[in-house]
Parts: sequence; C-alpha cells; structure tokens
Amino acid sequence: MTRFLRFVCPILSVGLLAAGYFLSGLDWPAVGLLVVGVLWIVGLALRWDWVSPLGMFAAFGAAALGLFLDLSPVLLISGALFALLAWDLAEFSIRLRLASPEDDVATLEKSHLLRLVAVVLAGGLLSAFALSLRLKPSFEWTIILMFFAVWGIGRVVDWLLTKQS
Amino acid sequence: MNRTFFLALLIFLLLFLGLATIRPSIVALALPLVLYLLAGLWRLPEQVHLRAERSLSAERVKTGDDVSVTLKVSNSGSALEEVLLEDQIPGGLEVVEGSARRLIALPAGGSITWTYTLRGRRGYYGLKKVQATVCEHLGLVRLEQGLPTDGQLYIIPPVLRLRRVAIQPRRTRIFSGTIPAKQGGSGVEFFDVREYQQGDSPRWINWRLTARHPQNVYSNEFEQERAADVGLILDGRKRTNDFGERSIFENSVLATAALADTFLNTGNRVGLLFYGRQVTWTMPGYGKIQSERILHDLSRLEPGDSHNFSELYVPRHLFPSRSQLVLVSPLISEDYDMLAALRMSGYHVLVVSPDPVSFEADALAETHANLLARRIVQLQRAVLLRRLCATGIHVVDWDTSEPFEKIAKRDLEQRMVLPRGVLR
Repeated sequence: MTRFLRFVCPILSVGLLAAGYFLSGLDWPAVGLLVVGVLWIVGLALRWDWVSPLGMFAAFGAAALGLFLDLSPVLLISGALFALLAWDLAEFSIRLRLASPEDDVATLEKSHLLRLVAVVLAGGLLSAFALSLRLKPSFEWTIILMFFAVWGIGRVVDWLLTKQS
Repeated sequence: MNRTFFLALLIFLLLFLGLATIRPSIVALALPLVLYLLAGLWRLPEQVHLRAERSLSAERVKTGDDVSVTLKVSNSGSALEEVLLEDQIPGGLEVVEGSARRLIALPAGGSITWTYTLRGRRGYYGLKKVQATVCEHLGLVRLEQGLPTDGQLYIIPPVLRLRRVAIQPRRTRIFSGTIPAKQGGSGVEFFDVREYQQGDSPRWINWRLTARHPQNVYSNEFEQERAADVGLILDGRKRTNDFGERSIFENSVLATAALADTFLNTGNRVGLLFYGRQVTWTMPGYGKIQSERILHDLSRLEPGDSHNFSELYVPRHLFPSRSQLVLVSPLISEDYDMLAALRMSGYHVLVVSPDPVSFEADALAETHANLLARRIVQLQRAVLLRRLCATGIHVVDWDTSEPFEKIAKRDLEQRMVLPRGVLR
C-alpha cells in the first residue's frame, strides 16, 4: 500500500500544482513543475532517499510562489498537502525496508496511514479555515503574532531535537 | 538531514515569506506543517522502558553448527507505536534462518519473543546488546537505546580424530601411557633380554637364548610405555600466516586442535602456547577438561604481530626440559635458529608446517613471473625444512590442499628415523 501511495502522491502533488499554474495561463512554470515531478518519480524508483525532501521543498516553494501570484489556493494547498504525504510515505517506506518477513507490516502501514491522513486532513482544513478568515490585523500585531509563532515553533523543534539526542 | 530540522526550516521560511510579502495565504500554507510537527510531539513516548532477555540453544558449538538465539523484549513503559529491535551481531557470525531484526508496535506491558539461527566461523563472540530504535508514528523523533543482554558463544574449531601421533621425548612421566619410555618393564614392544627374575611370567622366557646359555635362564624385557609432557606451540604471527586477504592460520588451528585431542586421548599432559600479538599460555593438564580448555582458547585466537619480539620466541621455562614440543607454524627462514636452539637444549621437536607457498600460489594467476617466484620460494622452503631435519627435528610439510588426516596418517603415525649422527 505504502509502495503504491508513495508514487501516487508526488504525481497528484505535482499535477495539482501544475494545474494551478496552467489554469492561470502560466504554461512554462507548469511544464517545469511536471519535469520536477518526473524527476521525483524517477528518484523514488531508483531509491534515491534524498529526492523526497527536495521534492517537498520544491512543491512548497511552488505553492508559496503561486499564492504570492494569487493563483488558485485550493489547487496549490492541495498540491502542497500531497507533497507532505509523499515525503512522509517515502520516509516511512525507508523504515519499512528494515522489517523482517515475520513482521506485521500491514498493521503498521494501516495505523500509520490512518494517522497521517488524519493529520494532513486536519492541516488542510486548518489552512482552508485560515484562508476563509478575513481578518485585517495591523502590521504591528502581525509582527507580534509572527514573533510568538516563530518562538513557539523554535521551542518545539529544540525540544524534539534535544529529546532525540 | 534531520526530519524535524527540515520541517522547521520549511515552516520558518514560509512564515518569513508570509510576513515579508504580507500574504496570509502563505502563512496558511505553513499550518499543515505546524500541525504535522505538533502531532509528532503529541504522540512522542515519554520514557522508554524496554528490557531484553536472550537465550542460546548452545554456548559452545563446532564450526559449521547452527545456534538458535531466542530474544524476548518486554515493554514496561508506555505504548510504543514503532520500535525497531536489532540484535547486535558481531562480525564473523551470519544469520542463516529468521531475522535478527524486528519492526513492531509494542503495547504497554507487552512483549515480543522471536528466534533466529546463527552460524559463524571459529571465534569467541559476545552477544551483549539489542539496539532499540523507538519512533513516534510520524517518525519525527528517533530515540535509540541499547538493551543489555547476557550471551556468549564459543565456536570451536573442528576436531579431527587422528589414530596416533608417534612422538619420542627423552623424558616421560611416571604414569602409563603410549610413549615408549626407553626403559625395560611391562609393555608390548621388545626392549632387551635379562636374567630371569622371580615374578617374571614364564611366557617371557627367551627359550632360544636360554638354550644357548644353559647355566642361566633369560627372559625378555619390554619397553615401558608412559605418558609424556607435550607442549603445543601455535604460531600466530601475522607475517607468517596472512597473505593479503587470505590466511593460513585456520589450517594451523585445525592441526593444533587435532594434535591436542590426540595427545590428550592417549593420556599425555598437554599445554598450549600461542605466539601472536602476545604470548598466551594454557597451563598443561590431562584429560577431557584440558581438551575443552584448549578448544576454548583456540576459539579465541587471532593472528597478530608482537611488538616485543620480531622473531619466534619460545619461553623455555614453560616446558619441562627434554619434553616433546610440537610447533604448528608455516615457518620462515628466521625460525631456524630458535628451533635449532630448542633441539640443542634437549627438547624433542616436531614441526607441523602448513605449506604457505602452495597456499598462496593457489590464489595467484599462473603467469611466468609467478611460477618462477613460486619455484624460488619453494626451494628456499625446501632448504629450510632439510636443515631442520638435519638438526633432528621431525618436520611434517602439509600441503593444505590435502586433508590433515591424510598427512597425519602418512607422516605422523610412524616414528621418525633420525639421520645418522644426529643427536637423539
């Protein structure tokens, strides 16, 4: 299942992002994204483990650029969400390679996919909700909120990295 | 790159871009990533309390035999969604059945037991640790923990059964054995004739001699057979044993194990001196316990070069004077002086020498230069062996392409006939 999905997700991600650009008349960036998608799939097939983070980075970059250019946010955020799924599944399949034939891989896959889909769906809904808000905070409030966001996320990451080491 | 770090970098970039361009939609793009990060944090196991127990089907096996390893890992902490358990198998062992690795979810209070089969080459192996790598379900954080276990495995060399090894030390012990003691008494082999003494069996009377000298009665004397002190010396010098990737040392170990077993089975007292990186000494002893001790020690030995002695060094105080020494060594020219000195000190020396020339030549291409080089080295070796024989040392030249049993049957079962004029 993971093996199948880790190829499908990059295709959907790049396809949705390219569609976002293509529908707004930006043909060449769309073609460029499709080329990135092909390279991503080839890298996955050749088991280049470094290709997924690069693909995700490219997909989120393309989505951010598209949002800056006021392209369709639904297509762009959906494309970015599928990139997140693709990145996660690629990493998960690397971990599954270490399983022995006796291991119950199907159950591990099932529970992982359920949780992943739940997290990504929740993330998508949260993004949609954030986009639907029409708040107009002042620049000062935006700076203060951003500062707290960056500080909070920085603390979380620091804690995770410390725990790991 | 670390996954958490990568995710954080992407989030920060998106937030920065959103702020710089004053686009809330770009900030909204970062929200799924933030949620993903927090989800990983939420499911992170607080503390890992794993315990591993190991049992082996045998702690001592012969080379080529299989050993079943059963591992039980119990979780006394919180539930773990993804645990990779990996038994740390030392080099030299290989898994032939099952797997030394498991990827599982382990509930709180749960445990997993699994078995796999190992096989390996001669050696001593400590199986001391199971590595556990715990991930939360998104794999953002990996906690690694070494779980200590008890376990050791001796893979001893195969022991070939030899019928007998003919040795003739100048001194024997008082216990009966199979070594001719050069003294008259009860035995099997004819030794001498003497005047009949009270208590002699009538069957021992030498009727032919008595008929020739009717004034006396003569009886036969037989050679006493006794146990002897045998000192086995195994040469573990790297320079004599290793040839690039290949090593002839395993052949030396095989021969030493077979000789030790044979000498001990015939009631002798046997000690083992290993000469490699350092000198290792197995105290002399008798019987099966000593055989086990020697096999255990043989299983640990690896060739190495001594920093103290560049040449073969045999500490003589370890071996009783005039006892039997058996050196198992591929030999190099510099060894002659040491061996000759041992012989001059009164030791009876037997050298079993796995032939390094043919061993190394098997791995080389048959070019003209190689053939010429082989011929030169073979001649040098032949000269060395001949010089040793002339000193009264019994040398068994073993071409390792032939089984040791065959060589032993041909060259070790018969007593050595020393050349005329050689010190006995």
